[in-house]
Amino acid sequence: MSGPRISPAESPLQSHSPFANLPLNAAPGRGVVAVDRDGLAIARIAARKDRLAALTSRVRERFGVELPQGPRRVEANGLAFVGVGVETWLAVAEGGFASQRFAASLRDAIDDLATVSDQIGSYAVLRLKGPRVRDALAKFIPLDLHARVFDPGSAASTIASHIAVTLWRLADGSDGLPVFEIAAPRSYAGSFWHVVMESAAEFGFARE
Amino acid sequence: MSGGRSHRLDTGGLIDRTRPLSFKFDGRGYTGFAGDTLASALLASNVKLIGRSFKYHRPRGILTAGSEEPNALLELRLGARREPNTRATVAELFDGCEAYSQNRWPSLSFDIGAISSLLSPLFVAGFYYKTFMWPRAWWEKLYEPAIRRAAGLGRASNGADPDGYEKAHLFCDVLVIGAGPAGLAAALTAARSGARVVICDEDFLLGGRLNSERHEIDGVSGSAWARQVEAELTSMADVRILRRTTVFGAYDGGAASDRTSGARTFGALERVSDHLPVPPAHQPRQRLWRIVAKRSVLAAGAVERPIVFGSNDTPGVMMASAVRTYVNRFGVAPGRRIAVFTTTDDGWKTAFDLAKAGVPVEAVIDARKDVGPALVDRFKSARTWLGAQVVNARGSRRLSGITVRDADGRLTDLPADTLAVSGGWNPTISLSTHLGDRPKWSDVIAAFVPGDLPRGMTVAGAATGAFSLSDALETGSTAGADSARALGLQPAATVSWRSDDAATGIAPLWFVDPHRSGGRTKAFVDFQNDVTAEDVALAVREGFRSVELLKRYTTLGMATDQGKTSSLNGHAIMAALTERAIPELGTTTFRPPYTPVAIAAFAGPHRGKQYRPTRLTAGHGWAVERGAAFVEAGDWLRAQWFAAPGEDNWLETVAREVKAVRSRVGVCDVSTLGKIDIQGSDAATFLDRVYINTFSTLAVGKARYGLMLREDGFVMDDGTTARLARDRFVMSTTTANAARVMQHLEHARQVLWPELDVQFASVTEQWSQYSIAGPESRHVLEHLLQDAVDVSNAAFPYLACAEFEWGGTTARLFRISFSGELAYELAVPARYGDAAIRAIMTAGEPFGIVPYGLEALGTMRIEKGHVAGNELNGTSTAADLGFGRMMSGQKDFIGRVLSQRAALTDASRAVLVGVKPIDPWARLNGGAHLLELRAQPTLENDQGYVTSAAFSPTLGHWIGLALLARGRARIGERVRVYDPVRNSDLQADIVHPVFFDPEGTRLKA
Repeated sequence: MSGPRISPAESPLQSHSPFANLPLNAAPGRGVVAVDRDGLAIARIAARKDRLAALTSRVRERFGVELPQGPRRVEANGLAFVGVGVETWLAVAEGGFASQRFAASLRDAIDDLATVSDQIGSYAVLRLKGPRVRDALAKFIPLDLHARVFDPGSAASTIASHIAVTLWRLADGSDGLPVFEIAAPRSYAGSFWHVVMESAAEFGFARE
Repeated sequence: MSGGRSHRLDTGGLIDRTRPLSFKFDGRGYTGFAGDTLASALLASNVKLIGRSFKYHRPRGILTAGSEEPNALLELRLGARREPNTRATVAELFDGCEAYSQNRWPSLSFDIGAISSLLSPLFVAGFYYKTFMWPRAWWEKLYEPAIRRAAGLGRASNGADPDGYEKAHLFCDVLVIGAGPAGLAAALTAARSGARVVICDEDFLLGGRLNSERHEIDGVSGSAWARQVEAELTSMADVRILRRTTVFGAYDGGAASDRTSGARTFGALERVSDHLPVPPAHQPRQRLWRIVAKRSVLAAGAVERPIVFGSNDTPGVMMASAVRTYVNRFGVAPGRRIAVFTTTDDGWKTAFDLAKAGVPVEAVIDARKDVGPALVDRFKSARTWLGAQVVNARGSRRLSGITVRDADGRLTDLPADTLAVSGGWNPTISLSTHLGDRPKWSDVIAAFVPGDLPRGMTVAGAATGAFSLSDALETGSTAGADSARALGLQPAATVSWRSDDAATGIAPLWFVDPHRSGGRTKAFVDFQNDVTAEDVALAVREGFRSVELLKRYTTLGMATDQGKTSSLNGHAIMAALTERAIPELGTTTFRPPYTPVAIAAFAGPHRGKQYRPTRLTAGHGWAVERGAAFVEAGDWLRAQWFAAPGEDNWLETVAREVKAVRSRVGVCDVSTLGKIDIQGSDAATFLDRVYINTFSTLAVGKARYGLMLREDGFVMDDGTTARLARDRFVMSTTTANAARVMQHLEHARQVLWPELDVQFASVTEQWSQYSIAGPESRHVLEHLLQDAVDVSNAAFPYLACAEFEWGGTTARLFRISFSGELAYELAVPARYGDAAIRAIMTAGEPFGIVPYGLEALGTMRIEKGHVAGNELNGTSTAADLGFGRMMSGQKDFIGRVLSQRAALTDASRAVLVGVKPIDPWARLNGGAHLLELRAQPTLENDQGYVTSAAFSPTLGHWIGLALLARGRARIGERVRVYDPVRNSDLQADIVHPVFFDPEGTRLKA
């Protein structure tokens, strides 16, 4: 070998948020507030053939979570499972769980019962909240998000302004207002941000 | 045109006299009040001539006070915001508003085009079809320019619309369409029952006719009652009131879960900022709502219809109900000498209201002989004519008088500046028929009423054909309660309001023929399209019997008002002429939109750069910094090339990039290629069945090129698939086919072989992937990856793959090559994609690494004879592309059987070859056709075409790949390369498609 030596082991690669450096052009105020959820670790899980029951009990045993049937989100201790298809979930981790090894650690726990696909780089996730959040969402989410219809724990995969997204509703904030998170494909982050910003602009839009 | 004297009444109306608004019409200044429409403010200023008609350029005024207006069309606003065909009757007045009359030259009061009235025999029904048959050559030179100049309805701005438009979704239990008495009663009852209610009204003021009539409900004025209901609805959490919003169409489908409950989708247009000079910051001009409603209540009211008589289009002839609207709602007397011509009890109300407002009524002319004493006795102050008809209106630019034929046939001229006409009411049933349901005829009101209804819809109020206020309140409240009950809610008690009621009798009168009284004037049926009673008669004489054909032949009802005031009158005239009853003729079909909707509203925010979303790779920001030029590939933007300072020709740039890769090393972002994670105990079996070649024999830690066919035997896609573990593969697809391949695999898994244990996930987004290619690429990776993985030729040979930890994350390395050089693809999670490309560039700097783009990539793959999208064109087979022997005979796979069809194995098929021009400087074009040397360029002689072409910097001349009939047997033959599109005609030699390093020694170095 010739040339200079660099040592990536000593200087790990820097993570880059898909929402970094995007413009904010909206009315001032906090009618809608966006929080960049960069740092979540996400993996996609699909039950191996005929192993749903075993997978469900393994997940219950290991993670203290009942895998949802259908489009719901359940969460315990910073680890959430979001139903996104038949016997298919997104596992979403934050805090201590959200390491680079998240997918590998899931695989260690359930590899014999489920396919685990690392998606840690796949999504650009925004948390959206604020008193006018539903009015903004109505402009790009073609679903009924009324409090009684889309209650906390509800999830859906849909098309938002031509972008395939998965969204879920978290527990209400301490202000009693609804809180949503939307996961868009990472490559669409710029366009998705533009859609969110334009939709929220009239209500006052802030980034946290 | 302007009389100067104000026609504003001293008191009354729902206008705010403390807020005067100034506006301009045709450049002249006027004043109105907040709460006015442009029409009411113009009438208050005694402006009666508003525009010129479409065909004959006849003077036209204001006919109605609603969205059905056919006459009073204006250009509103200036510059790029100019909107032609704005109905003055629904344009809300704002301060500084500027409007211009249309369709006149040089001025509104003196219009040269009006001479076309003199040529009117030319412009009769069907004139389009008749006039332009002969001689053909005259069409482009004479007719079209002349007609384009003369006809038309205002001018488009021709500027880009500076305002924004939005689209939004709304879901409710009950959608109430119309906020008149019936709609308000329905919404209130449904909302009190706990339903989620949306109520829409096209007006800026809720209340409908309550704002225009002198009604009382529970002891307060109708409009005050509307405010009370509005206040209660506003206070309810699950009620949404949309003012200035027209529900323009009913459509199939609601939420999937509501399919059995009758949920429907409605389109509605909210005019968010049309009443403002310019939209406020971050507000759209208009918003298109898609409303999904489980139940709907159609309470859209009714439209009063004119009576057809001589010169009935003279400015000053108005609908009787519109006169009441101007008097009661806007405090405007439309004239000083007003006569009423009616065939209904309702028309008399206009006379009563005018009298109450102190406006003198010249005469009431009722076509009926028998009119109830309640009406006649109450109105003694004016001359009343029973059994009489107005045969003609007089006056050129405004009404000066009318000619009345009394019950004995005597003609009398009366002076009048305004004639209020009441011909009965047509229920507004359009939305009840959009989904194919047909209306039915009612003899009682001589109009069509809703017949069968779309599932989930009920009709209330005047839209049902019951015209009294108590009917409206009662049917509205019942519809609200019924809707709640159908939703499983406990309905609130229906409310009985005490209201006054008026008689609603009618004896239909459609047409008073002026010719029978010796007149020679035109009697208009369709004001906007200038269709006269004579046009209808002519169509009948020429044999037309169907209302649908009448419509198309005469253009009756085809203007922007869609015949709201004209269609039924025209049909009734046809019925009389053909001696049939109206229900025998039926009615024309109502189609969305109910009123015009700007195309911009349908586009919404998707214009310019936002026409569709853009996908960017994680390395995009870095590529921008490096000055890359980008090209669209589907939604993706991909770097096309990276021009260096001093390079002013992209071919020069691409040549430099290719030479750098072939001599040193280059890096290219290949993240856009599709990547699919395939796992499961049957994953290998699954791949054997979708690829033509075998993957179950692939060793862990190795990659293999694969080709897949469609069921019909043609090539679908290609790419490499790597085996990361016994039951874990990662497949790559072309950028263009990524989604299609995923669908194909899902279909195979779910439908064809559900018994297999295989799961997959798209991981295209997950991995940022960079191709590092060139003789120095191994050195670059050694510096970059260090101890993370051994990249020596022995440890990591051609087609090796590995997954390992690097830089604090999981990384993957594949030794695969599209360029034909020693090459690797390095993948990291996309969140590290930016950091990775910067690290690659740093590590590669000592070796002279250059970034290269899609053009250099394409050039190198053509040099290597690798097929891509141009060759995988949906009509090529594996054998055509030289992969015939790759098709395994040991197993079955998708497309195998049909790939053996005679047509797909025909020896004369066009197959992949290389093309090399004889003249080394001759440019080869993709798409050029291949012919035998002396063949004429005809379709029969066509033998194939150049699929891909590039200048090869490596070889120093243009090269191409082509699909040529019997190509493999023709290597060495000389052909004609003919490209008439780009005027190129040259000779070339057919060669082997691999131009460079055919032995592949470089990639295995």
